[in-house]
Amino acid sequence: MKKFSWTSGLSLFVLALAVLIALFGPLVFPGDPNLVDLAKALRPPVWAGGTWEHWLGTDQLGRDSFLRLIHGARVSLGIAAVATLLGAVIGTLIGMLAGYLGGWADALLSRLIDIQLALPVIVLALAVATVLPPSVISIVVIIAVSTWVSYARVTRAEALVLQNSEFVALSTVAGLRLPKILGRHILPNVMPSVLVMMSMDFGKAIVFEASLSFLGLGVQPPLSSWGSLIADGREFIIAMPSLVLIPSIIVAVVALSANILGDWVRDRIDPSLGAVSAAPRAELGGTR
Amino acid sequence: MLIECTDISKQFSRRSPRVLDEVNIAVDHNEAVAIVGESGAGKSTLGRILLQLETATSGSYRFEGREVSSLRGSAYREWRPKVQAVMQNPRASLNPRQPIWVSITEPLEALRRMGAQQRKRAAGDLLERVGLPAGILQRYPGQLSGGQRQRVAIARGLSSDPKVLVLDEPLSALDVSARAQIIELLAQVHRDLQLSYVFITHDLTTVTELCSRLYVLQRGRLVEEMTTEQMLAGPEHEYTKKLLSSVLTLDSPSIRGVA
Amino acid sequence: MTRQDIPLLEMRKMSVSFPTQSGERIEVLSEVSLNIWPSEVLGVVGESGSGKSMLTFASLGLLPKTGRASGEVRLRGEALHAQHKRRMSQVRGREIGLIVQEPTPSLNPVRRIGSQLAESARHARIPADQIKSASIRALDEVNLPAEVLGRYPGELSGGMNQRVAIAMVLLQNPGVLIADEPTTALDVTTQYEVMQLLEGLRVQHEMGMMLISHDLGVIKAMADRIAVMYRGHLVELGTTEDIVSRPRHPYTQTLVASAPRLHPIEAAPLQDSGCPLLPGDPQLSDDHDHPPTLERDRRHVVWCWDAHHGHAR
Repeated sequence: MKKFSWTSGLSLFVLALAVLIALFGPLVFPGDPNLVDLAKALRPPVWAGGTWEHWLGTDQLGRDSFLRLIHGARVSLGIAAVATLLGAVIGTLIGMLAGYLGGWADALLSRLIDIQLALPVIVLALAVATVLPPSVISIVVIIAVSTWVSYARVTRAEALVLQNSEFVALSTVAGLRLPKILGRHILPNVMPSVLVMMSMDFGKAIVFEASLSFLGLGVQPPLSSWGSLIADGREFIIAMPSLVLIPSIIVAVVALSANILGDWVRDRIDPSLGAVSAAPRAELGGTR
Repeated sequence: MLIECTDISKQFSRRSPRVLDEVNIAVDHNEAVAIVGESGAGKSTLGRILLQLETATSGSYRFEGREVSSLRGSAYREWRPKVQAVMQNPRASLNPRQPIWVSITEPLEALRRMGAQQRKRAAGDLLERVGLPAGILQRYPGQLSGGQRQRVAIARGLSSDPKVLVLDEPLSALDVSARAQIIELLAQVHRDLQLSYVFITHDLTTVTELCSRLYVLQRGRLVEEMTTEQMLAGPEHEYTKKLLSSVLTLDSPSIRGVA
Repeated sequence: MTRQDIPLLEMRKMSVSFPTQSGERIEVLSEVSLNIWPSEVLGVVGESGSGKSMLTFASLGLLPKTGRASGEVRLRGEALHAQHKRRMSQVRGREIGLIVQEPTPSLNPVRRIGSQLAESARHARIPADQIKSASIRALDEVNLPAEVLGRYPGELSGGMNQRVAIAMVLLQNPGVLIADEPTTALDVTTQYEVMQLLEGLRVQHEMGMMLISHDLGVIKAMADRIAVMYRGHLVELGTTEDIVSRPRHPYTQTLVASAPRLHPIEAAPLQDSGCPLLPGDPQLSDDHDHPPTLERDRRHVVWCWDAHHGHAR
């Protein structure tokens, strides 16, 4: 088992801080992130000659960058969390059903996965974005649509192994019905893999949301996420680089922390409990 | 007859060869019958058909006179608890993530509504019947030895008060001393409870220790059917003869100098 | 030529330990001493966790990295050291052949049987132009046709693959053969055929053999002497006849009583001997120092911590 290293500790701290800010930041630092004051437009951060009144500066409309980042955290992390969960739930459910039921259900799912894998995610996202109006919900849907496949693939493979395992056969013999077999025997045994994938996907979802918002397919004003902050600031990248750099660095650091933590989760979860394989091979000192 | 299988055939796909080819077996009430064969004989598939984990491609499987594959709804749910199973691998036959009492009472749970306390009590009684202390109810399979897990699996098989227990190589993954104890337990259970055994095995010694009659399968076909005494006195079919003479026990002649 | 008065393979005070998660080391093999004499079959019987396979791994220097072994191995009197990698790799295969339980995984699935046999032949220093004919001859000895050379392991049955594994050993013509559960993964009829084959080849090639199995029936069919292992300890050593008919150690008695039989016997209830079967008794180390003459006399030796069972009788 991998030790809890200082990098994991730091990542946990960063992520916890981000979540706390997202949850309570707006209460601790009251103020309207959308308050326009053109007189104060494009103020630099305090270290570049700005004032403490707007310590991270202001944007082209004079809105306070710090407040916008705090409110953006809510949107960015909220979307990432909901989208990750949605993708995981849908993918796991479909994967388990396909793997357990086999037959036509499995054939259908496998084709669906093949099709999805043949489509580049970004093209799919653009396609969905043209159908759905840009909104928080569309972003959640787009991210979930692009992540569910990996859950479906992994859980399908594990459910297939489990379906052939003796204890699942015995629960059929016991007369348990499908929901109980799935919930009690399949789900707990695919859960470790799902958790690992979710912790990895959370970081990806933050970046994905930022990319979509940057492309203008995501969060629409007056709401702003970290991604839309970057998008808004790009015109001023020379005049006021902090407008782009600060949210970019925050996205990068939070996503990196989520990934490092995901690695840790993966190593923590005992691989021997991951999937129940067939008869275990010879142990030390004996063959039976 | 409790179980009557007539001309059972099984093909996994249209082009693949028949795993079972017109097999006929019958099992009476309170009878212990063995299905013997080597790997690829189709004996496990036959067991899975008896348990309805597979359906036969053709042929009839009657249980107490009723065609099992035609049972639907409540008739099916009434039949299900009557045929239970114990499988080969004591590691794989219990869900590693649930305490053993839940596994043991699963067949009961499907049978009738029972509260957790009631089921725990039932599991405790079943554990005592198979020679384990009721105190281990809350343990997980990983905390038990192979022999203990196989006892738990037997307790589970008995929980719904079945008429038939299909035992698919329940001894082959055990050490000899654990094996001897499980044989003892199975013999005792067969004496005490009025139930039938369908014992699927490659090992003729288990047959003589537990069964009164046996069917010999070779590559999906039934080659011989006889009582255990007839088998010991000398089987008719060449294949059965070969099986019998290949068994190496403490009573078998040495192979030194034979070759 | 083979001297009859020194053992082919001598394993003295072999111990193996592995680290546990908490950092302590547990001993899986404790000071086991055994000899394989020229042209004898030594059976080693034990259940899982008895350490019977560890004996092979330790003797051939095949332990995993975390394992620590001590003891002395002598091949025809020559001391072998696991550290001498070159000498050990010469010994493995060329002088001590090894056959394991699962033949299929022990063969490389993506290489044809022919090329795997050729590798064994090269290891045995068979000249390049004779490799093919030697391989065909070896296959013939295990009753396999020459066309098997072009096949992959996955195309053959378990029994055929075990024959291939035996052919690989034959190419190197070792003086000692260690067969660790050679027939456990096979069907009964195949098991019988492979055992017969092994016996014939053993006689023909004048090999000494150590046959390791959990199955006393298999051991009894072939062994001259039987060593009984329990939890890393050697608990009883004697002729096959003695061990099977007059087992003295309570564990051996249990093993014999619970051995599967076609005609089940009503086993006499075992008395509780009170034998704790725990290590640490000073008698143990003394017992393991028994002189080799004891073995040559083929006498019956019991190691027990209970004074009633005594030792070396």
